[in-house]
Amino acid sequence: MARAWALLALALCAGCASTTLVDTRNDVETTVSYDWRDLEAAAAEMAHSILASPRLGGSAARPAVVAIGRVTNDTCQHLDPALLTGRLADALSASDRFVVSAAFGATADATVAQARAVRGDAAFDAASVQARGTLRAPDLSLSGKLTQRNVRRDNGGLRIEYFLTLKATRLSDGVVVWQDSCQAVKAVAKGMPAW
Amino acid sequence: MKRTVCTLAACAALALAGCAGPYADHVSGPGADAVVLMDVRTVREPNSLSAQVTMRNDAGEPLRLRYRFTWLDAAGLAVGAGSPTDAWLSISLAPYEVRYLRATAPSGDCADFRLYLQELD
Repeated sequence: MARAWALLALALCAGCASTTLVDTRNDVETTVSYDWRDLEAAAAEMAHSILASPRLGGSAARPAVVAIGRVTNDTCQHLDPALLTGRLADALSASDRFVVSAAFGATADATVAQARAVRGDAAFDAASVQARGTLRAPDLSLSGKLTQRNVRRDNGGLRIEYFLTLKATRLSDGVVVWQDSCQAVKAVAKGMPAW
Repeated sequence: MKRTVCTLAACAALALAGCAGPYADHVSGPGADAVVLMDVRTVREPNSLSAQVTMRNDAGEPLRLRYRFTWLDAAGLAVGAGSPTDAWLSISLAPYEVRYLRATAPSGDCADFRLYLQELD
């Protein structure tokens, strides 16, 4: 009898626990967090804005080198800014006006320096080692901040406001040649957990 | 009788053309009927191609839509799939508001675009 109850409990648990794959093309659920849809929407807005700006320069003949600088996460959530900057780097790389630097900034690849550190090392074929003076220094730096504000609603709930601001700085003279921002505002009912 | 049939056929053809609308080549989806499409244009600049779709919410209530631009090259192949420029975006139109949706092509080899509109509850 005890075994039957155990089997029944196991069957019920198996029935309750289910994992579903989210259809990200048709996902319109709203969450209190700054979730992947907010990141995607922010990256899309910013990418369109960057690509539409003639002040950033760059052309198919000579693409501007962009160093992804620091994007600060000033929210109460654990959120890796690389999720955002990575998507922006996708858009910049797809464009023929820009290339993304792997020698500087958040998207730096340590292999770039390592490949040059072996110059003069007899273990390597000298002809295959990267020559001096081949790296391209960045023309632009992209940096920004994601900020969160919690605003008390009259009904006791909260509005959680997320602001993303990004700017592109022309490194030759330190002038900001592009800046844009976007918001995501979420309303949380009274008693709902928020941070 | 024959003349009546011809007239009816012509009316049906006109009605169908009216349903598709003059911008059906560029704008589609279940949300396309929720707005009045006023203008569709593309502008090619030295380093980019931009599109703008002008629409009006002709209802006395706010309208929520989500939309997505898809860019095509000269051969009609989709460009930039998976890029942030290919993402869904949401907008809300106030009653009778005219909105200009703008997008810039992800790369210089784009030649045309499609806009898909979906009404949100």
